[in-house]
Amino acid sequence: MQTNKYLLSLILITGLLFGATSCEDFVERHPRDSIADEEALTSLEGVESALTGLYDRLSAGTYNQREMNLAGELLADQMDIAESNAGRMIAHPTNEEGAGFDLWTRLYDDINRANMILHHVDEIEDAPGQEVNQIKGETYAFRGHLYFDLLRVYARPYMYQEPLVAGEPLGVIYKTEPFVGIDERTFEERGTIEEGYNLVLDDLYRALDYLEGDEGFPYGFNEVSVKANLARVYLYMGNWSEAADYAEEVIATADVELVDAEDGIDYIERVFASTPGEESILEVGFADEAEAPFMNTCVAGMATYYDEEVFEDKGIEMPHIQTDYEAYGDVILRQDLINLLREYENKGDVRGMENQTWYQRDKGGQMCAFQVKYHSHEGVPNWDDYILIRLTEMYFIAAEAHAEMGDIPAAKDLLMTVREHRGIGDEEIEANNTEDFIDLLLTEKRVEFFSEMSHRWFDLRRRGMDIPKGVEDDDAGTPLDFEDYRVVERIPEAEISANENCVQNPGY
Amino acid sequence: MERKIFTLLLLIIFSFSTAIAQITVTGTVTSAEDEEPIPGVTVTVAGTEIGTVTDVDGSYSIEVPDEDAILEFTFVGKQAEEVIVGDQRTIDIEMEPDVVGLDEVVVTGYGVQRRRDLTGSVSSVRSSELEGMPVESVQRAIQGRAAGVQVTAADGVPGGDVSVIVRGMGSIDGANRPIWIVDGVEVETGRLGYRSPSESILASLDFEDIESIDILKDAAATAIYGARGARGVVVVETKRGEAAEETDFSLDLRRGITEPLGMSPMMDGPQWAQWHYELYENRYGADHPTTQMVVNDIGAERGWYEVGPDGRPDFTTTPHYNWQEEAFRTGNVYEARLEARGGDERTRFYTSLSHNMTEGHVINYDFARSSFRMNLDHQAHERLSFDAQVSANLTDQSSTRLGGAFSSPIVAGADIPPVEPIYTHQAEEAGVAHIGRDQDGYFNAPRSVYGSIPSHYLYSAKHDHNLVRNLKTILNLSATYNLTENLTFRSTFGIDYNHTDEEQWYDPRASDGMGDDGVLRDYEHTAYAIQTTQTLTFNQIFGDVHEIDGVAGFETWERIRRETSVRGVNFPNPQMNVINAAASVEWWAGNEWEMATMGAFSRLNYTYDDRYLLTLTGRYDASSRFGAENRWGFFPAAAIGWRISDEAFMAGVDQVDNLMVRLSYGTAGSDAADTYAALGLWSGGVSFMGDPGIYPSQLPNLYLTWEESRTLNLAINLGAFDGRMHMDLELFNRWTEELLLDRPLPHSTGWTTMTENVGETLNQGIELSLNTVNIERENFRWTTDFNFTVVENEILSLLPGEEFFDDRTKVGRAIDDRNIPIYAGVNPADGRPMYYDKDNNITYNPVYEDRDWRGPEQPTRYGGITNEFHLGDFSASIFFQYSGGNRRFMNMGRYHFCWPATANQYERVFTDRWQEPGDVTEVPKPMSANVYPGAVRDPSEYSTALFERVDYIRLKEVSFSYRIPQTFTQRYGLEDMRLFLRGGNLLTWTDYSEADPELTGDDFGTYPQGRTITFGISTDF
Repeated sequence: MQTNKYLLSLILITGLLFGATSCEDFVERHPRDSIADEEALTSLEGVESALTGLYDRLSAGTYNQREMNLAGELLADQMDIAESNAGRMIAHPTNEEGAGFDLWTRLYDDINRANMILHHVDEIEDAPGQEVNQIKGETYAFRGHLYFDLLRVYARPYMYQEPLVAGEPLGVIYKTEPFVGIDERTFEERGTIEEGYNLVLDDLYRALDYLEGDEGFPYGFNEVSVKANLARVYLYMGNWSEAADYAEEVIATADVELVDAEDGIDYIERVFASTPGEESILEVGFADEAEAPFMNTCVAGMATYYDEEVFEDKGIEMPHIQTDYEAYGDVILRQDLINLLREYENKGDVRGMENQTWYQRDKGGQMCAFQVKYHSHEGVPNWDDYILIRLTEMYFIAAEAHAEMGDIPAAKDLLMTVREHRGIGDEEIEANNTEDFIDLLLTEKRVEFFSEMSHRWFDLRRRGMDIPKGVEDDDAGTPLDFEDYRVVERIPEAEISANENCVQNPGY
Repeated sequence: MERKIFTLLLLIIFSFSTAIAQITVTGTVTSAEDEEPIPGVTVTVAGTEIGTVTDVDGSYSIEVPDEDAILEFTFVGKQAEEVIVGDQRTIDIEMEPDVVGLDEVVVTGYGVQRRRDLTGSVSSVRSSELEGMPVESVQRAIQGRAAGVQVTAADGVPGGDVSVIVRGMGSIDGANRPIWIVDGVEVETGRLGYRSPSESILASLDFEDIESIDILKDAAATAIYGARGARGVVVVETKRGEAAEETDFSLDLRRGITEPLGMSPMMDGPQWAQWHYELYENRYGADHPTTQMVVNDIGAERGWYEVGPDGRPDFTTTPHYNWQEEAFRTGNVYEARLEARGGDERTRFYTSLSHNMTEGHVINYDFARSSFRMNLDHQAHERLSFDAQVSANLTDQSSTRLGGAFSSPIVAGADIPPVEPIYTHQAEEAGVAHIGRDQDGYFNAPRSVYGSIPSHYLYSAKHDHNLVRNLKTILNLSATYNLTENLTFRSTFGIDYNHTDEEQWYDPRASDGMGDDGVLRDYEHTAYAIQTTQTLTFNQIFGDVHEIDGVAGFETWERIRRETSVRGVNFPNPQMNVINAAASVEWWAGNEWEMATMGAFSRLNYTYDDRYLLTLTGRYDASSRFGAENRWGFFPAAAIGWRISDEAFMAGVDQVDNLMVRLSYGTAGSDAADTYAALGLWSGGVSFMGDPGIYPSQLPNLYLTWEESRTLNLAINLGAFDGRMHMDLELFNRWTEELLLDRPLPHSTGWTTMTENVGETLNQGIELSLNTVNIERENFRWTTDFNFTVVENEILSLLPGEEFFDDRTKVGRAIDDRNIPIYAGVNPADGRPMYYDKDNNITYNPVYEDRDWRGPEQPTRYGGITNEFHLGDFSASIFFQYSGGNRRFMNMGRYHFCWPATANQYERVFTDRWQEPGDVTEVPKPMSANVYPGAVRDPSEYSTALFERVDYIRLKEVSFSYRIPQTFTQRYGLEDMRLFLRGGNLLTWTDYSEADPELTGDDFGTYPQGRTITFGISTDF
């Protein structure tokens, strides 16, 4: 009896330990901060949060902040690196090999995500068609936007793609399906530039098919911002009439107007500091401090440098600026740009006014000029919405397109509208032919858009112009010939070594 | 699953129906040496759990099932005896002294075997070798003791991480360390925390609780651990109680001191001042304005020297402030240990309580451990017994920030020029301006180095702290049931619970916390594993010559790890330094990870006539880490042994007691991939304008599977001269395939790498161990234990079509090799540093292609030799340890070998510097900013100038002990009392120029090992 008692309890314990689970379940373990692939995108909520995850990438400092806003400004004749610096982007102002936009890895990661969303969204059962369309529309618009940025960095410009060396023109790698993993052993080669622009247009037009209205405007992709993107793409392609049409359609339909800047501080406040900015067509925002990028990746951290004394000494009140915030202040305005800003300042143009859009202070013994467009928000450093497309750009696009088509008066009208809102409405435009007008327009864009989206670099590039490097005696560097290999960005070595089908850009 | 239980049930029920006749055997056990009775000898019936112990008169009485039963007599220090009962009813035994443990029992996976019957490769360390070792962790205690087991550390931090590697590294990215099984339960070994410079959760074990450590090395021994056995298995058994009339107590008290084993050999003040001056003199000339500015405005101004009438510095007036010494102190070790064991025939116990307190020999480094253990055995009835092990271990480690920061005493102590005053009063006495003074007006800040920031490592050490507390609890309960006399069922349930609590405080008054007004990081980690093991053990002898024993079992293991952390900044007052006092919490994090393995295993041993041995082992295992397609795997192994000494033709060779040749081949795995490595994953934690988002964080790989090691092992065991000599020689090849490697992907896929099973490595080695009794006299005994291992590894293949992975990894080279520029010393004509190019010609500016492979960094040969002497009541032991065949990159040295900025340098940078044409030396002419004429590579940059061989022989331990005569101790009611004195790391022979050749890995800011002297009293009562 005694024996049986012991034995019974032993058997019971053993049975309890093992009867409970089956073998396969026991070794099936899943993380709690992640979801498995096969479950993540099977619901509308899942796909929506994947799209939110993609938008988060748009706001990352190393994409639209540091890279898109500053890299091109440094490569062109707009900005420079202070003598005392933290070592970031120091090779950009002299266009050294390898210094440029670091976007390849990031953008293909994003494209793969967009492809995954598009791949899965149609497989969701019982999803309302309208919501599916919204997701598809935004994702196509997103992918088109990403491929356009890839093309204008890593390929020769559309209008000047005739081969300089054998093997050109080289576009980028076009992927429209997600990477499947271990079974995919061979990788794609680069397509042509033509194919690339067709893909971008295709994505943007598909987005227009799916999107309705201006949901979320100006945050995220909607009908208006897709059309603004189309205007931009057609401008790069030299398709002037489409560019003008889309730009003018955006001007007519977008729920924003040019800010009438009587007072300088008001201009900065309304266009840049308010959320959203009053001229914004496509803007990226942050809900709180935690979402804001790191200091070393954002414009506020890299290109401002201020403390209380600077502002108190100058008697400036800038309520939106966190004045005790010590940013890196490594990226400064070139003397050439300062001279240009002064020229406009003297005419009374709000865009050029010192202590309004820019200011000077001593940094390590060097008198440096810094931008003020991006700074802090509600006292939180690095937290500042930034603008991918704003209305003024549409005026410039339409003006350039009309001028190229020979309609100088229409072009002048558009530019004059901008000038009126910037305080120099009485400043007549003297250019009377396309060439002079374009020269004037490109110069005025430097003033309008400095420290924004590298417009200067891309304008020079797409128009096949040499890259000047500042004025004589001040900060003149050797101009970069348009045909120089460094005008087209180097593809990362990691791509070339792992993908035998991918050809490096010539010269590297 | 259900079917297995059913079978088991049937077996159990069946066994009950057999009625068992009992035979009573009695007898007396005496010592062969003095014929005195021996109390406490364990008498068991072989293959069963039936057992008893002899009483004070050495007598015993035991019931055996039948006349085929074999009685086993075991006692510590005596050779085990076996007797077949037959028709005997009284069996008296004389036990012979155990000479070198030929018959000791080795704990293999899920069972025990006599060493002479082993067919697999097992290295053993016994409690007698661990007792009183002047180290604080079990890994350090086994260093040099076992062939094929390499113990290295990156530093000497008390309670720090120590690497144990069995038969060399085999994996490139995966794990190279063995699993540890304590009393049958796999335990956590690494570290859970992040902030300590060096930490090991195993250091929380009190290694003097350990009875035996058996390290399983070849596949025949490890295949039974399946997917976790490829890197070896360390099987630890703790001490157990013994039945005795009285409970035995043992009290150990120890007190030790420790000093740093060495410091980086740095310049003194006058040497540094002169070297600093020559930097400018050599570059610009003595009268150049820059040199004059340095002499007058920096050197003289800061009190480095006085300037003579000729405008030259007078170095005889240079002060010397030893910043390095201030980082060190004499460390102290206090240890107290109480153990008790006893019990009766049915219930036996072992319990211990110990406390170790180590004050490190670097300021702010302390370690304390409190450990408790209770082991209990209970015979519930003749067939059923229980045993339970309970241990709780608490450690408390205090350290400073790891190197890399100027608040690290080791880094800053060596870096700061020795001409700068350390304390304010020194600056005042020297009449030089000083800045930075704490509330006590005590510390001077070395302005010339760190500008205006009051960064002073003594200042940081005073205010900052970095604490790690670990709690490790191992609990396990087993039940053993003898189903029949030949068949035993055992069920084990075990828990290994680990908790780590970290607190790192950067005080707002010191440099690291100043910018944020104080920074506090708090981490909480828990990891607990639950294991269940069921085994059936079988043993049978047929017709006197066929002996079969075996084990079959099933095991599950799951581990859950949790972590939460928080970082707070901006503290109103440094005394309020908990998160509640932080004005803002900057970040927080929390996550949980789970993993599980399960497997069925079996081992079968067959012996024919004690001459021919065969072992077959297999395990069918699954791990949650791997892809659904490859989750289950089978790991088989086979071994054969031939005891030549028992053959008829050896009958005349009396000198040989035992000669066996054995051969084994088999596979084992390693599942050391990331916890969820096979899954395609989307993760959270991102948001856009307040909406939570997800992103793809990992590519799926359904085929992902374990790294697999195949081992071929050939061994010869020789015992000779009546047990006075024993030798093991082992030769092995271990191929590791299916390496878990991160294959680079083209970034246009949207991914950068993917973990795949590719590549193969080969480890080849020889192990020799030799134990001899050199002299055995009535009053004198001298024994020698020697072991030596040579093991080399080579990468056989990597990714398909790739010969080269990175500058550490290339096909045909060792796993931890280095592709490095080759330094060629100094041009005797002009003092410029030279290098070799790829054609072995001299170049001043080598390019990447000029690099050459000059590793490996892990030792390829190592060993130890211990001599023990016993003379009456005195005994002494001397232990030498050897290691070599590798090089080490002196990363710390990069800042001390011609570093082109203001920092102290190695003394040889001054003494051996090139001074005039014709000087043949390794040290270039001092040159400001290393601007030599022509394009010359900076000599402080990465090259073999700082990649030295680290072969060494070390007098690792010397110990003396004296047993106080029992006539004296017994007068005070004590059974035994011993005094001992031990010294650790006493002498070292090496050519390595840095402080300690024993350490491996990055030496930047590492805590040096200590030279220790310990005195102790050990009392039994």
